[in-house]
Amino acid sequence: MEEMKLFYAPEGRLRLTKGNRSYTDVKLAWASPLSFPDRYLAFMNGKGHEIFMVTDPRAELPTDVWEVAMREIQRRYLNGVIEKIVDAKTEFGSTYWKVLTDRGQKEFITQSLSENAQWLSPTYLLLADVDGNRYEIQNTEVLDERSRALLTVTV
Amino acid sequence: MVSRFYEPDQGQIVIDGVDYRELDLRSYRNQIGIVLQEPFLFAGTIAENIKYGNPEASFEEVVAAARAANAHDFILDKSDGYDTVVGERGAKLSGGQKQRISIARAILHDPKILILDEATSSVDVETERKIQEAILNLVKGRTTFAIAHRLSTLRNADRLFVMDRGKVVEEGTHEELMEKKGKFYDLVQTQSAVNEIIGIGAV
Repeated sequence: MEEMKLFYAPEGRLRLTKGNRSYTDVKLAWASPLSFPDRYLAFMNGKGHEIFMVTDPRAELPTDVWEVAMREIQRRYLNGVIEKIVDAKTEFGSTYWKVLTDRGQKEFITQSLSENAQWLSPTYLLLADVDGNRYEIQNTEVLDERSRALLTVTV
Repeated sequence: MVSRFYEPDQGQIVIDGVDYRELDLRSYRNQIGIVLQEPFLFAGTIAENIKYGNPEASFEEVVAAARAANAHDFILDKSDGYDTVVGERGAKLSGGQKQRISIARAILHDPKILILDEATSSVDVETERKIQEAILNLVKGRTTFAIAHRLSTLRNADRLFVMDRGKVVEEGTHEELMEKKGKFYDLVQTQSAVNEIIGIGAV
């Protein structure tokens, strides 16, 4: 792989140099974050065009590039982790959630749960709300009894 | 009729010199790919919808097909990338995005015969350009039947058939039909005039 550097310049804006090319406002994206987590990481330029994609970034990228990339993708893929469902009720196709997450209490609305609730495993649920925010329940079996009951009725 | 949903009342359709009614229907249809005006996507992920063209395809092959279909960049722009659930009939995607997914599916299917049925109608100019590029990748090395009212999509065709009220009224190459100054010429002139007004480029 060509020599590359990934850094913030100016602060908050990601820049990539690869060989003799330089790209500003670089964005990183997992091509298939649910089916292939930690694989197929794409680097895109400021216009949203792919620069390149690596199949196994941890193994293929230089360590310093991987560290910056990790920081960036953690920012992009920040999901709230639901620890408790306080309330969930469905009215006219919309579900109103009141939950306790790893970052405090949160209320959000989901629509059409057949599309916006994805089971990544039999006990791992991903919810996407109407604003595009995502919430995970990493293991439904460790939720308290009321949370599990609300989940069973709702999803 | 090419797909053999109907058979000819008269004459015959031959594929490589063989009457297509002599061919195994399933095997024959497996060699055909269709890109429709309103592509059919099911309520799965983008990857699943592309993979429908070849369920045995690897993820790398799905990505390669999406790249050739000019779909890869907009897919990466979505939080879930190829895992994005497209909604019932692809409702969460724009018309141009759905079309490019269906082209990626056709590329993955790798048919010998391709039918493009108004594949670029009802999209804006920029999207049409992207779809046209995708189609150029798709048609390489295949026998392609393109049905279009937007005549710019037919410029590269080896042979054009002009239909009017269900009958073939002219046939020839683009140049031959333009020289003839018949029905096709009139249509091109009309669309050029309209395109000048709405600024979508010459046909």
